[in-house]
Amino acid sequence: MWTKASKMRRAVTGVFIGSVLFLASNAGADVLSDQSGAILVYPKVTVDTSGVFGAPQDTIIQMTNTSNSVVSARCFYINATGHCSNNDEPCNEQVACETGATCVPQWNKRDFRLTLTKRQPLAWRASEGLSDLPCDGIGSPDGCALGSNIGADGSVSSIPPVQEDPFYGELRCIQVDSESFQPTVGLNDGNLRGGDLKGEATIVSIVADAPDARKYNAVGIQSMANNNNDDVLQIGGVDAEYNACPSVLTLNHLFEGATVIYGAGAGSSTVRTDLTVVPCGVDYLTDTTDPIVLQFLIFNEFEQRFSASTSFDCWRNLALADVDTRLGPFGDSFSIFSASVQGTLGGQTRVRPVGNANQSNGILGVLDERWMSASSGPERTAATNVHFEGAVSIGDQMILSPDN
Amino acid sequence: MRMTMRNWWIAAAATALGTVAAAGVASADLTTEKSGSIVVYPKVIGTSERDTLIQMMNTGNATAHAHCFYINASIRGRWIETDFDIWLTKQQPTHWLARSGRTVNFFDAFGSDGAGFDPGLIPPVPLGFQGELRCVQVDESGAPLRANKLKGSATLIRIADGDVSEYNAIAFPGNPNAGVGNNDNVLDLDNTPGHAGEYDACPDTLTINTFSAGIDDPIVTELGDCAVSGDCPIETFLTLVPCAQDLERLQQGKVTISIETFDEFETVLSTSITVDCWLNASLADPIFAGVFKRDTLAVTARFNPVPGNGGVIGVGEELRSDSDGGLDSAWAAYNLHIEGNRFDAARNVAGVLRTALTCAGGSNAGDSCTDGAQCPGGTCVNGVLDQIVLPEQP
Repeated sequence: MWTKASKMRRAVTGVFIGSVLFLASNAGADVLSDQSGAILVYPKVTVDTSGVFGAPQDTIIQMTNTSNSVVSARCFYINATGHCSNNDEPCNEQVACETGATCVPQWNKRDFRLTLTKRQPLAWRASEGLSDLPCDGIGSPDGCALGSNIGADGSVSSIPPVQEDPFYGELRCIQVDSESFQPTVGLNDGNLRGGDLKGEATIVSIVADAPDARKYNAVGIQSMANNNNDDVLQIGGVDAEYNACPSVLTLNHLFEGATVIYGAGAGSSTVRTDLTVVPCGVDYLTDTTDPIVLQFLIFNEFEQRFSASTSFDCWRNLALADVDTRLGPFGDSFSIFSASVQGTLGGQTRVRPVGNANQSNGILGVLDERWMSASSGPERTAATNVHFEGAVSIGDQMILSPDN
Repeated sequence: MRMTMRNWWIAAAATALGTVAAAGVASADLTTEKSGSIVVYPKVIGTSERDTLIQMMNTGNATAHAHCFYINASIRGRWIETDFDIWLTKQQPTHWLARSGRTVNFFDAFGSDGAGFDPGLIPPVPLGFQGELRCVQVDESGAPLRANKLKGSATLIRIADGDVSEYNAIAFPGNPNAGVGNNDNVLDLDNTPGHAGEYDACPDTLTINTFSAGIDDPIVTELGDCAVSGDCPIETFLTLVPCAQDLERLQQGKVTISIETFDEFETVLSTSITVDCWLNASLADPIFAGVFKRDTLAVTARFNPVPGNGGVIGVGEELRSDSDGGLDSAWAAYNLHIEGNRFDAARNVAGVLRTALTCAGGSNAGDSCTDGAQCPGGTCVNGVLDQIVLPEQP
């Protein structure tokens, strides 16, 4: 029989355990595009130097070690460029194959490792990579005074170009220990050891002989204290090693075909928006992904609510109007993302991935806007990071392929 | 024995409550990707060359009210503030152009620019406006409300050809816990992992990844119309505003910042600048003393306020041109990265934690201290308390 004292003690113990669990479940609830992290995700990297899919373009990747220590990273380019089933020509959701053929998306990776000296910034074109890093003593024989891009195990840092041109896909880098090249927590107390990598991607295209550019911040997933350094990265959930991915992406956007009049009537443009999404959980060991269903909730400026859904496998870039209509511009005017359907210019959309019993199917993404001026100028673009809300409960796993 | 058990209960209960309290303030960074109770658009332009599309959303299921302030910094040394109120229904998005504002018109045609629930009368900015927009979530009475339901973005538009660049508004989440702070017109930016305050503290460090000032863009050089070396530069502009503002007394925030830049060879150069209300300058500007003019493509920089100064926030914007110049160019804006907080963990530009402690708030605000007892009504911290002071409402 329990005494009153023991009941109270159990009650207090319950509160204690509950509060600790509460903290554990809430502390790791942020992925961030404005702070450094231990996993860096560039959801959209495009290379098309010959202009197969439209304007010639390439991506400048920037990556920096924000700490005062040498850090290393293992990185993965994920190639999601489609190829036609009949002739292997490149294709995507906007550029179709010949009649009777289908566009078969692919998902293959190219990995590389690099070591960054303290506070070192790097920038490279995705189409070219960086065969020699500044402080490896190869391209610049004098190297650097304070550090080297040679890993502690003697491995030379080298960044390869993307797998093919044209290329559509993502880049993902994981901070690793500079000796063992196994995943590790950050080294900088300034950000609570959440990770030391930060980056940006700038997609530069040439449209009608004029440059166009759009830029976004890479998404950082911060490390938690209990990182066991193996190749299975637990992102959120029980025994989380990294902060959980968001449970909802929220998008600020203009509805498809919205006409924005600016300069007090001096100009106007028609706007369309693309969303690029990638899964938080990936398996680079077996190169497999599961389909993820995305539920969309759309609000217009009348507070009216609509919903739609779609799915994707490993990487998807789609116009908002293609979420609920056939691919391409044909059905856009019937889409619930169409300004002519919604009746207002501005919208807010909440994108929720549907999880299962084993994983949350968290996602990350970035938005591109395409503005076409009424004065017949070339199409202009802008990119922006999406907003995040909440944290998935079960979590996701990122499984790395062996490094040697 | 009885005393021992009682102490155990007290210790356990205190730990539990402390843990819950810590969870309540665990997330204590301003953000460009989540909603907050104060949203800042550091760069708003309304000139004959560029206009700005402001988008703002209520992310909650209840009506959200906000009190907004345009800060016109186009005339150096003169700080002009214009304020207005908006209200947004459940999950409502809204938008307006800086140069046009938004009228309240129940007869806007379906699909036209003004269609939808008008959020209130939003005045146009005067032609030539350059400055910031800052909105504070309030309740129906106009008192500040830390409900964290506002988020937004700004799109800068070049009028001649519709070139666009976009960034996310910077949000300061408020601490909604009852009993923390008050709802007066002095908004304390003092919520950190170590201190349960009103609004999340300003960042201690801004970090920016950029390119050597004036260096040619490698993609435009190869794919674009680039006749000779030096014809296709990347010019980066930095816009910074102090976190602290006194809108009641119209006192401009002023912050001096130490800057360290690193190139790809790890070479370090440093300088300092002063942000007086609003700064928008090219990294090639002489005020930066050439520290961004380097021999490598990539450059990174860390911005830290000097001791005793509050924090700053900002955005970057890059301009790429080709040999033809003029409209053969493109802007791309982006949000800066942040590190640490200015309230209780100030660091120097080398990343070393400062040790000097100062009273933040209270009757001895600004005095040096060694513990909290020396700061009645305040806190002994090694940082600075930034405050936003709103005008008194009638």
